[in-house]
Amino acid sequence: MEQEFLKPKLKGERFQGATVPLELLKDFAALQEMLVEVAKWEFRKNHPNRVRIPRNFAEGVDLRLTSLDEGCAILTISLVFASLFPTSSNLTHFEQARTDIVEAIASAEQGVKPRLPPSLLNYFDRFGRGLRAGESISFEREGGYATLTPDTRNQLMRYAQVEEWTEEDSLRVRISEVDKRHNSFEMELNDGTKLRGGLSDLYQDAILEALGNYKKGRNEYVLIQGIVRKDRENRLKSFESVEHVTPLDSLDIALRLEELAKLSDGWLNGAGRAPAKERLDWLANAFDLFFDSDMPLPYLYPTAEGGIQAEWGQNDWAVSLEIDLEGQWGEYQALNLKDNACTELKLPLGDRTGWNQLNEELRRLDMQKVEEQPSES
Amino acid sequence: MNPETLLLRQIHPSFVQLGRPTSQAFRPTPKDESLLSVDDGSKIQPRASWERFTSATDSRSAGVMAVTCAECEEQELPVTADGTPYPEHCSIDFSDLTESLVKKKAKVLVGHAVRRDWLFREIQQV
Repeated sequence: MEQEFLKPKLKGERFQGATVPLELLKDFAALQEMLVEVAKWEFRKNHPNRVRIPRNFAEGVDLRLTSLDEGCAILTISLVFASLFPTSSNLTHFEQARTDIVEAIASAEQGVKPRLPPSLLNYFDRFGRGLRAGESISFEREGGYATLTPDTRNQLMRYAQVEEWTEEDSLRVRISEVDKRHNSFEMELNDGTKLRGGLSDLYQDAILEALGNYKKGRNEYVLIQGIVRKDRENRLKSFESVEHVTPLDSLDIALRLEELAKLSDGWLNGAGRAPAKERLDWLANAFDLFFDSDMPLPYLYPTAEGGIQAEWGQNDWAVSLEIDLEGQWGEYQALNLKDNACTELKLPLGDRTGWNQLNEELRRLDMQKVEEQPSES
Repeated sequence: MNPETLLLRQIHPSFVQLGRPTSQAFRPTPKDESLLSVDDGSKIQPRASWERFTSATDSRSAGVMAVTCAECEEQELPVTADGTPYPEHCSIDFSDLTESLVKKKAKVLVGHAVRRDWLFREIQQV
């Protein structure tokens, strides 16, 4: 027997065009585990005299992804029973568990302590971990929606009263030490924080190359993606598992913006407003999402007014984009240093529109290079 | 000063990435009231210019680059040897220009300076 059970709606750039990254399916696997445990908890509450949960309580019950709606990413998750006629009381407990989970999210959104005990809220350590900033999963409930975001998840983890929790993260680091005997390595963040990670054959070469660069005094970074452990103050404690190691471009956007985030007011010889950290995070994210990865990365500089100026040198063109971080606007100017031709545009950078225009303009300048090259014949 | 006289410009460390300066380094900031400060290269050497600048409190420079008087003239930017606040001080005047023109002229100037390369650079990598 199969019954439509949940229809979570995924919002965010990664889910455009009704697609869901496979890596997020891990979160839904954690949701299934959580659902079973919450259903058991409901059973115990309703049968206070029973010492044990029935042996076959969750046997033959499975959650399956049965469809993905066209247009936007709405998953249909069905509860599948191995038998044709599931025990009706079990079904009731699973349905109640679903309500409990959705209501826990709604409570956290409203800043109210959920009725689920901390031990069960702890499942949000894995369910919702794969969500990135600006992404969410909404569940229908009576009178509206309950929406799980990275912030709501953090709130739920606080209610879970755990000292530490895990998160998917990407860190830009230098590799300062490798201990082959203990299969581990030490990474150093831009702010001096040091963390240890486990060494694996899968990425050992990249780690050793990065260590070589560090020892030669080169300021080269690698991107380490995986699961990190954080404490209640949101401080990094350790790298739980490393999934990918990638050498970074020397013009890496996020790394440069991390550097510029260290500026304070008065940075320009007593004048100069410092760019706001959260605005720089927005810009790093926007570049990541919308900037064409085939285009050369820009050089980035702070402006005296607290913004950022991106610059490209494209053949004979000097290109600048002065970014107003508050208003999310960019003033684009491309000047041909040979013939003084100039293009100026005001680009809205709050969504994809302005970024598409920027990509198009840069591509146009890049095409000129191809056209101007003499043919080989 | 003659057309080939170098006008020395201090470049703030945050205005440099991987050794490349921003065009902002060659345009006045709001506090400069349209006058870009430079030193007369016929009267002071790049290192001495850098040392004097960085000896003041709150004054940071990654090094010295330069444009010539002729390059400023080409951009119709008047250069004044104003001698204030010290004898070698000059100003490149960006007054009465639209924001767009200021940016264009700064792009041309930084292009000349980059071709000339750094005249003096702080030892620490920038």
